[in-house]
Amino acid sequence: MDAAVAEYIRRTVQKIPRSEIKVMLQKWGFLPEQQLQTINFDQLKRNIVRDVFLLCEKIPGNIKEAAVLDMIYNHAYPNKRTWEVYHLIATGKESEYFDIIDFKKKIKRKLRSSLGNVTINFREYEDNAVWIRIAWGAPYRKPNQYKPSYVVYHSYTPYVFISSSVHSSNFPLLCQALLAATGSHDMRAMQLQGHCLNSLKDTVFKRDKNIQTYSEPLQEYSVEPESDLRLVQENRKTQQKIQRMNQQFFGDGPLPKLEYAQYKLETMFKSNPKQDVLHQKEPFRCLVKFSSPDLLESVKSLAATSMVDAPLSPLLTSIPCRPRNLFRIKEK
Amino acid sequence: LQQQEEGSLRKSALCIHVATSLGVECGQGRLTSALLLTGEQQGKMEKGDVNAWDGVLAHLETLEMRAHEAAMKQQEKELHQEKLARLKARVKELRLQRDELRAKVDLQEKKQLEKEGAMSDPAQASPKTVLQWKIKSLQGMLQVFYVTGISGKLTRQGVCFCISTAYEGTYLDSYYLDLLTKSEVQIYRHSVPSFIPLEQIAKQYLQTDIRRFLSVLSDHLNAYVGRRYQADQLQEHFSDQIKGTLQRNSLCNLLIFNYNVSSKSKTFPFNVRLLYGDLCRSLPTEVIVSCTSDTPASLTETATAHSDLFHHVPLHKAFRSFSSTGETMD
Repeated sequence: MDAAVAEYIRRTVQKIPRSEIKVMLQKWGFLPEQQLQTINFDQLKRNIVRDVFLLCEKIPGNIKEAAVLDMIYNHAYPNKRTWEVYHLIATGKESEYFDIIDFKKKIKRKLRSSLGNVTINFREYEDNAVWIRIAWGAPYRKPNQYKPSYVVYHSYTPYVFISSSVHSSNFPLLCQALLAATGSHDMRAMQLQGHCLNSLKDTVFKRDKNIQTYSEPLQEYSVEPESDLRLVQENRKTQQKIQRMNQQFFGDGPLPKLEYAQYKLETMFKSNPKQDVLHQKEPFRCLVKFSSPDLLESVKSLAATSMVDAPLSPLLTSIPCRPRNLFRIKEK
Repeated sequence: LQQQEEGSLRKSALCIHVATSLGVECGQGRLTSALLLTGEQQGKMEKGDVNAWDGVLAHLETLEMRAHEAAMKQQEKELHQEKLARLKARVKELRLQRDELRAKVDLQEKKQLEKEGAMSDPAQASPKTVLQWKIKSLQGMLQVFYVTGISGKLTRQGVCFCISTAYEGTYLDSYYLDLLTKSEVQIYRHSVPSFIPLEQIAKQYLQTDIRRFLSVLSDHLNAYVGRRYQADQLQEHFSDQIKGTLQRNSLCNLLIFNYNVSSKSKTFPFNVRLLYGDLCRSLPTEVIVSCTSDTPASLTETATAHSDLFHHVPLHKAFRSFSSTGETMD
């Protein structure tokens, strides 16, 4: 095996958490089972990695096979990457029958004809998702395996989820390939980004696996009766109002997990003329970013915990239904 | 009546036996009795004949009238009693009927309770058993609705529909749709898979005709589930006849696979391409069965026969018929 390929495998295995290494190697299937048995998976991680490296070195294999391990890892831990959602605008003339073989052919053809040096891997999963891993090269440069782009596509939906390690100049080419393969006419960024891929999918497909439980008759919202009689709820009505408002904007179910909401202001600075901050009449450029491990849940609890006066700004409450989390606010 | 007559006549000066004759004969032979009366009383009526005669006649008239009235009353009374007797008889009849019916109902209830193993006396049915019976019948009703395939219930903001799918007697998945009905009808959330063209169907029918929307969506879902079921059955039960993997897509409207057909103890691979153009149907619209060039000519007929079969019969049934007719495809 090529030293570069072996090194790549070593670095990929290094990323995997120690407890999962065995499972992922089995899923990968590159190392035969009896060889896997010879590795002691209870030792220190660096020793496990070294053992795997030594075993793989001896087996002939190419970079494409090695890339499969990277795909398995990224499928198991998609939240380590940032995903952007794009909307495909249909022509109306696309094929009725989604043929995966045809799809793969078109993408490979488009990318290889333009660039030549690309490593392309496809993997299909149970939930009808097609994962594509692309390592970009150049006419005289080998593909950079350490900065691949990932594309997730569900057939018959007009959405693609793209994660690029680097927003490279190859992005337009990727778009073209996707448009050709899906038979769409244009691709538009939805201004929706996040780490949690499943959450983004749920938001965009409007799907809710727990819908059966929500369809139970809803009970009237009431503040929980105090268990301790010595405590008295002073603002029961306000609390109920806040709960109703939350229910109206955010709904009942779990909210999509977004990490940030970004508001780019392109408005004029309105100041006291005496202050004379800006002489020129140009928009005051400002970026407001709200970050949180789970943004929408924290926004929902802002009013409930009385940190903010209800009602909340529609800029924040419109995120779940739009769905987008990158906004640009212009002058009216 | 006789006593009445007698009573009234005792007040007058006439003989008793006149009264009896008058009373009995009821107006018959009044004159004769009057004459008898006058004859017997001749001795007494010598003085003031005309006056006494007049008085007697008038008296007789009143007596006559009274007798008549009494007779009428008697008649009425008799009629009334007859009617009463008739009604009483009717009441008895009806009471009898009611008792019979009651007995029947009790018997039914007893039988019902016996069937369910309850040994309680139906006459002492407690509110609890009544409630249980009510719950059971409601559950039965809900099950009936489930059988129709589309059921729904009102929610606070609108309606939640449940579309249950089935294929050839096997119940398969259920899909839920939560609709808001505040201003215009909107889909709030759903569990319909992403490859079903829900937005298109909603755009066409949701605002105008909800029934049609649900019916079209139900058709799509049932057909998808049917196609998927056929493909799953094929993979599960006939994997030995399929060469390689079965290529399918998420909507299950494109199926490509190879299977072996044997003739004269040699097997030849057939390639099948099934295209399901109509998303509301679970049978293919286009079937392409192709074979390799070295296949004998006799098998080309089989190919067309199979192609025809795939058009009309569900996949797994078609394959079952292959294996039942045996491997002899000569």
